[in-house]
Amino acid sequence: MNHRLIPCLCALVALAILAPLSDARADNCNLRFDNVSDPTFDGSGGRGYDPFARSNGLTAVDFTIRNKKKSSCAFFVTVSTGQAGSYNRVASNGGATIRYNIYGGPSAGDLPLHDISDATRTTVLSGFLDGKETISLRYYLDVPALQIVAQGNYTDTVEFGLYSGSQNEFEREDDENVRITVPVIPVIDVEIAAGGVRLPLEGASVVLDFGNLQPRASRDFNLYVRGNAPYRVEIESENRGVLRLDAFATDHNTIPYELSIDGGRRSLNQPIMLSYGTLISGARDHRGRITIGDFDTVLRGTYSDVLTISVTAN
Amino acid sequence: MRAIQAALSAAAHCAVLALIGFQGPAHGADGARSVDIEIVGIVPESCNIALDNSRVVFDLSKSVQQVRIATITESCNRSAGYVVTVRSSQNGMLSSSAGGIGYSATYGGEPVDLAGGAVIERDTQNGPQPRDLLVTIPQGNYAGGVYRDVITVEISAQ
Repeated sequence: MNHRLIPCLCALVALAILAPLSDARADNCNLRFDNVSDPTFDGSGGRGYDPFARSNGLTAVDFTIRNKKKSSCAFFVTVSTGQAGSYNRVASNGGATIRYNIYGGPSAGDLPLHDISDATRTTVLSGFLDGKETISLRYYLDVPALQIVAQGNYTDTVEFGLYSGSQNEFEREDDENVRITVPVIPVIDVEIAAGGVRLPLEGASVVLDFGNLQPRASRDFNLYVRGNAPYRVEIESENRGVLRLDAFATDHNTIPYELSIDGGRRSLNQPIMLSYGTLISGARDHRGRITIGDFDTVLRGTYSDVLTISVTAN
Repeated sequence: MRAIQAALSAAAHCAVLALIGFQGPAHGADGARSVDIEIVGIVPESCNIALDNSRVVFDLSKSVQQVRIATITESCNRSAGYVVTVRSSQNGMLSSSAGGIGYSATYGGEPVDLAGGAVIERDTQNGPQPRDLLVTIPQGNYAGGVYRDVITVEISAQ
């Protein structure tokens, strides 16, 4: 090959590559956003962000871009920083904030979408419209896991910018303000400790075994509650505060007992309902104690009662 | 370009599904969390007899008619009831080297057969109740001496 020809060939190749771009000049485009909605972060269960979940997944959001002219057009989409003023985006609820971000792809290596001032090829959504047509695009909302924040709707507003051309030569075509909502669901995480074992409340099998019953004998248990919402604790005794021998004996077959929670004695004649406020950091330890009451002559046998403890986020 | 975009979009769907598919178990639902705590204890079998007196001395030169020698309280927590036996060690005889004297007894108002021993079945519905053990010794001209007998009251679960 004649080496003097090489620069000429390179020039031809360069012209060939640049040809489509020259067709997609900004002044040939008339681009508009379509169907740009205000998205809500779904979370894993579709109800929002669970602060105690190891992952909340990604929420995919679709929108479309329309070219109103027949000419081909390269484009890209940018996203502003929102209230954070940086690409560590936050959504807020009153004075509380939660970190989130907006990505062009679902991969861990994807970078957050950037505003025009910081845009690079990897931080925008880009594409090519071949004449008068509509194209669908997708972005992703991610909320990092294990942010223990109070329940509520956290919001941020970002501006989506639509540009024709490339990051080096562009023209602004359209923009849309997009309000992003991250609903943080009320979550209560409860563990119970009794008899030297600490278990998640749900599905736990807990037995407070007194052995041979003696008046004034006691057994302790603890409820460890952490959550992001006010909650209530309901306690109900199947036998209304007595241990019962069986369903057949009608006399000398009950032994009274007492329940105290957090040091306060509670009557089990009717269901107990206790309300507590939000505790964002750490766990609240509710100390429970069962104390056998006085009894004299009762039938021999195994006495029992069932306490049902329910913890519910308000 | 659109084909590439569609392929990328499909790939993105797959990736999202994969992410969702590998999430851990659902955690932290806002519904009620509840647990049943079973409180359990045992009352062992316990059958006892308590009595307020264990020795009585009579002057046999005088009449002894329905005289209380002890008040006995039985207690037994067996739901099926219990059995009380009343026995005389000498089959209803006060005896000495000089001879014997027959006597009789009632327990809880009921005559008891001291010669053969009495077996009384109780239920536990009424709980512990005190019962008197009374004796009657016929008056007579007995030879001098010390006359003795031992009445044993025993409780056992059925």
